Amino acid sequence: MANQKFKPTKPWIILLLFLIAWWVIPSVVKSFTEVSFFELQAPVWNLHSKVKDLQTYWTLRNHSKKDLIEASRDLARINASYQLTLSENTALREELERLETLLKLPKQPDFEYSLARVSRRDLSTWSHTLLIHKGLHEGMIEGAAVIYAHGVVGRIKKVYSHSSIVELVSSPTFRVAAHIVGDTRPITYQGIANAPFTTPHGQAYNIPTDIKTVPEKPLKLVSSKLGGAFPDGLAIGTLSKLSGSTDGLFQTAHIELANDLHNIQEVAVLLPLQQSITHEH
Amino acid sequence: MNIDLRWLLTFFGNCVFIFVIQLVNDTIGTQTIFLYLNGLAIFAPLLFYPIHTGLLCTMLTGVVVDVFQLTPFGLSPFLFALTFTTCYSYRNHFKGNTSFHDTLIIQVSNAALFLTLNLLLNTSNIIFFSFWLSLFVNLIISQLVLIFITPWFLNFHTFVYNLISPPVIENKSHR
Repeated sequence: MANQKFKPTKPWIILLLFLIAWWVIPSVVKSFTEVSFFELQAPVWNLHSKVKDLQTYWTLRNHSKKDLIEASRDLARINASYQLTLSENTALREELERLETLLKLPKQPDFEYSLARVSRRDLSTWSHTLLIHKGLHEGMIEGAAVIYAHGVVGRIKKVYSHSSIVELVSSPTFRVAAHIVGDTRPITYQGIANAPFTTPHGQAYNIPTDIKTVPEKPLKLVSSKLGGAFPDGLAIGTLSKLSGSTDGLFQTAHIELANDLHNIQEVAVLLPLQQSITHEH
Repeated sequence: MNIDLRWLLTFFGNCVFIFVIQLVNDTIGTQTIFLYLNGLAIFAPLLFYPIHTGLLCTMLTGVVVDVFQLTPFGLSPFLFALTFTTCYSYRNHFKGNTSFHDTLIIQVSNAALFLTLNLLLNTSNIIFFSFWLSLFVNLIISQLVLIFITPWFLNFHTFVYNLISPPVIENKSHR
């Protein structure tokens, strides 16, 4: 405010010079700056995540022994149920392999799971992302599918040395091929901007007109192997509010995603087995 | 030529501010609320520095914002620089330098930045009602929060600015 002789054009000329300087800087330098800034702040988020874990630990320490005994009893029941499912899965996998050999079918792509902790969530109006602890050094790859207990979380958007950015399934920029349980015809799922204080949701397109849904028994949308990174059958959400598209050939639907999608703490990254073998070599 | 290095202090203050906003967004994100308060980060350089130092500080703050908020790299420095220059050019039109005018500039620049960013990055979503609802609810919440924290933020910056004597570097080549 101290300028006695203020020239109105001067700030604009300086702005122009700054923008020219920015434009002239080689993209390598810009990429390097971006990565450097990111790597500089990434440990802070890891620390933040560790502090949150410590807070949870001290909160849990206040629980009584009775609570712990009850929790361990419940866990034992869940474990027993998982053991049964595991043995069932092994039998089914063997059956699948036998049929594949018998019918000379191409092999299903196999994945290995890599668990990762969420250190930050960024749910802005233009994108929904998570920052996870694992990165390039832990074998993460761009485009890899990310899942959790209730189905699809998203896919890896960018990989840094020890952290990765996951684009959430609710993000407006997320798009994937899917299908309805019991119907193999492919449809398109896309995330949309979520209004505040609502549960996560998305939108599905290209739904055949013969598909009908009833509120008592909503249809489930699952991932399709046509989506590339995702194996077939992973839960995405449930269909509601079917409406005809403008061309009249297909329908669009509102997709209700899992309630705890924006609150998850741990995810599993699906790494194609061939890729992980190559990475190890 | 004298170079006032106190802009580095303001830049560092802005970085801490952006980090704190991200922490808050991380916590309230579970309710799909997003706070956008970056208009404030532009105003601190506007208050204390001449155009070239202020622009440098603002553009570097933009780089940090792009990294923290995962916007396309280079977008925030450009928008920040444009907003800074506009505010710098028009601030002489205000009679006096009252906190009301400061708050007004911050409110307008923050809203303009948020709307521009959303319209640039959400082109495929503008047909959805939920997008506009999300946009305006987040904008209103952000502007309200901004009203409360603006006096504190500006007082803090003024205090830090005045606390440290200006570390001046003499550029001998211009003697």
